[in-house]
Amino acid sequence: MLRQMRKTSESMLELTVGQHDEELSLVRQARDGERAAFDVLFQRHKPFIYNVCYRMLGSAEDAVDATQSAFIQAYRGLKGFRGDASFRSWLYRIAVNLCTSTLRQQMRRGEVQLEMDYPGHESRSDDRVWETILGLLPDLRSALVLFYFQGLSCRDMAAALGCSEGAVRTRLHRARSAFKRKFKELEA
Amino acid sequence: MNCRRITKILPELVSGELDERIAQMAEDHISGCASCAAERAEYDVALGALARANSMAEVPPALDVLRIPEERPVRRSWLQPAFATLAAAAVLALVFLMPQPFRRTPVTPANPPRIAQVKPDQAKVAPNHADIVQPGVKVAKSERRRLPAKSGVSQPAPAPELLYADTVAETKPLESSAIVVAYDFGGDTPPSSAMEIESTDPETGSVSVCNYSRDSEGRERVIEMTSNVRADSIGGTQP
Repeated sequence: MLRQMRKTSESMLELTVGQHDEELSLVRQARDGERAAFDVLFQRHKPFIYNVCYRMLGSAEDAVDATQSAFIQAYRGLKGFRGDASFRSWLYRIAVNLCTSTLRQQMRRGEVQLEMDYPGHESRSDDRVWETILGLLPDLRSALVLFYFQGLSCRDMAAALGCSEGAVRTRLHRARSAFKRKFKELEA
Repeated sequence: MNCRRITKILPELVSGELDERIAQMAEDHISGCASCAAERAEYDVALGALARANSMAEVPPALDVLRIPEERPVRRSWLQPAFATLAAAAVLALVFLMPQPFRRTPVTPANPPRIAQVKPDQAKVAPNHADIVQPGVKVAKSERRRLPAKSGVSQPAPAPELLYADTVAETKPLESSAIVVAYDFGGDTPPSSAMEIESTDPETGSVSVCNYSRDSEGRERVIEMTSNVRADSIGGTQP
């Protein structure tokens, strides 16, 4: 079954009560001006946020910019984090919105990233998969990236995308259909 | 379970997200249907590759440290409120003193939705649907033409008529990639609503759109259009 093959990395958003409390404590300290506390959060979550940005934008350089912008936005908007969802799902939402906005601006300018740029340490064996993903619209791209490469459940994705679980399932369904169509076209 | 239903649930079947009973019914159908089996094989290949693809890229050194620029404090001077008051007064004066016809000019949305122009002979359409979308076309309700009632004789369903475009922009902000059209299928079927660009081919600029709507029996009807419209021809609401 494909579900078992899906990578479930450490990116699961479910935290234990202790981990959640610890994270809330760091957020509170950062909100009170303790920059060191936010740096801890940055180091902890940056691999996941960077990967979302990289897979959505297809460019390591753009992904670095987007990741920095996401964390800067999070730092400045800490007052808006209520703590009902995990800090990482809040970060995902900021990152996905930023990347979606960037992609739409690029599309308006006619700049389309056709293939991933590999910064020297990535495998090229998944070229066709990435080329297919880069051919999808931002909303569908984010659904596949969060589900297949960040290992989020539909519930986690709903928190990350700020929509209902039903909307997530619909978007994932459309993303898979579009991916299959595009994947087959590239084969031809 | 028929082929149309199978096509709708194949992504979830291949991903193992279906209820066991429904999955078994689907598998039973697929084992006896060559076209559904072929479609399923395509999903197996595509979603299998997706699931196996490498997920975590190494974080580059540029992100070793997060640099947060200082926010500049907002300078407030006594002049700002005064100018704001003057500007508001000037706008009010213009609104009340300007000539009547000019005041009735409708305000167009700041970011009008994009509407693709589709050439009928180039459009690949799903059965029973046609898509002819003209930018900026508005059809008043009084001019709306209903599709002819069914006569009982089996014939291809007529194409839905374009009802209106871009009026949704008046009620809510639209994403810049949205295309707004509505179709009247006739009879009891309610008009469909917003459509979205499904994907854009970066090489040809062709746009694929997909819309889902429900007919009077609650069945989901997919309208899928593929056009050879170039992305740069997608314009605003005014021709």
